[in-house]
Amino acid sequence: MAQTIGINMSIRFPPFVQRLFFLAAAAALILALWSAMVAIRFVPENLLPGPAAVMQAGWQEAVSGRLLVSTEISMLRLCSGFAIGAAIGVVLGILMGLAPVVRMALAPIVELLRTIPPLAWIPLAIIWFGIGEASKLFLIALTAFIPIVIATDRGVKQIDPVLMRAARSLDVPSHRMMTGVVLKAAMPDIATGLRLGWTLSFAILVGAEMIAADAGIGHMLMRAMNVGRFDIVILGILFLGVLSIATDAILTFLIARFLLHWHMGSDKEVQ
Amino acid sequence: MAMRSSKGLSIASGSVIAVAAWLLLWETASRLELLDPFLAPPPSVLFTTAWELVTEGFPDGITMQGHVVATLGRVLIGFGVAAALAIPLGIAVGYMPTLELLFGSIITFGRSIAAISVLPLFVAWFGIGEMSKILLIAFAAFWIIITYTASSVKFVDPMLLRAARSMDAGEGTIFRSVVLPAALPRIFTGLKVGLSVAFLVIAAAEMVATVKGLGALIQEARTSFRTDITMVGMLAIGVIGYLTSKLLDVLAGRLMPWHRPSE
Repeated sequence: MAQTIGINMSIRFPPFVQRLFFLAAAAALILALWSAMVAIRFVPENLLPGPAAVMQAGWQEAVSGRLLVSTEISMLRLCSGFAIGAAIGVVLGILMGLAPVVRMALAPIVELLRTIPPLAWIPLAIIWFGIGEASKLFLIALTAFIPIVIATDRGVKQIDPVLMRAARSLDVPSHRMMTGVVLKAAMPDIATGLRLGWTLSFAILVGAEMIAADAGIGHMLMRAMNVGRFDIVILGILFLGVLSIATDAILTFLIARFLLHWHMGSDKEVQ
Repeated sequence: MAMRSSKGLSIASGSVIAVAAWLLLWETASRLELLDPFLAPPPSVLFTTAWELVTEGFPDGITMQGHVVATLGRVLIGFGVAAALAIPLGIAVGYMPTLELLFGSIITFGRSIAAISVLPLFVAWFGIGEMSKILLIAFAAFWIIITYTASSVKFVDPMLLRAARSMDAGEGTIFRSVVLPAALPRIFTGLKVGLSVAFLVIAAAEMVATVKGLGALIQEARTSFRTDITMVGMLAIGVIGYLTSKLLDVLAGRLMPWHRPSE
């Protein structure tokens, strides 16, 4: 459709200049809409501060170091939970993919887990683990676990049997079989699962942190709401959005660099 | 081992055996108090509880049906609003490269915002009633559906378009008879993902300031130390999420009889 409609600007400008231009235009559009909403008193001004007020709040939170501390706590929490969920997910996924008996036993549980939205686990997580750190980690780990175990199982199940037979006929020892053949062949699927798991656990992070907020970005949001600092609420929402995009880019880079570096066309696979 | 003999059985009967085995294991462990019956009430208790919820209700006599209707109503309205806005806008964005350049980054950012983090803001703006919950669902589902719709239109097989053009089809005809049908499967995927996000969001949103709805039910049950009710409520959310998703599949089958879903 590019040939028929629209302006093809890439002839005159390098693509990144063009992208930068449209990014700036999009930002300007959002800022204008936001300012207009403030101007027409869409809601009382203290409930919707303008862009300048939010930026000022951002500056204050950043300079005071509070934003950094909250970010550190939230990210540490997210990474720990994600690591637990990913480790269990990959191991169980491989077992399910390799042994039909394991798949038969675990498939109903995985199917059940995927139908229940992760945030619906909040009350049960509190019953099981209390309101401390453990219940938050449980929620994050569970959220990451589900797409990762499903993707790993799918990846291992689809390994070309010829690969396995070839490796066996070459007398590859079983531990090398796991790292050199099974994990590698299933890696594109596992990578997809890891990225989806990360995005989902990021999306529920604030929900997990609302359980009894003590620290972290979720806590920052809740406290700001309770004291009526909506500039900080909006700051927190936008900051989380930026952080989500940034960490997803980092994860994508790490996967391409360390897990799929040998895989041709891996960029396309993980997109 | 009993499991080994199931190897030759079909997948379906294998799952039935697996489910039965898990339930039996759970029941026995809970009865023998290997599992704390408060933390993990046995399945038989959950059945009784489910019946109690249907006939008597909890809390204040709000029956399970009442909770389901409340949750389902919020989800369907919010999801409907999101779909009604996101599908036409997504088609426009996917069809016109200039719009895509302008709105692509906004859509990416909107999708990256954790919907739950917007809850405090919406509660402040629209009150703690129905409005904030419905709008939160609409907000969350909107970005997902518009993402899938835009890419569905953008990535229509160029071969199809060239074929249609070489047969002298007009732009209008191409749009109606080629682009839309080719985009429909992915739009439906977007709707399904959007629906699952809607259920994710409502489960948390209902834990704030309401007594009606499945999210409220499981939260209320926790504060009254009724783990059994919490578990039944969670299962109910899972079941209605599953059923509405299947309903979308049926609708997709009706609208696209030529299309075979991949999984």
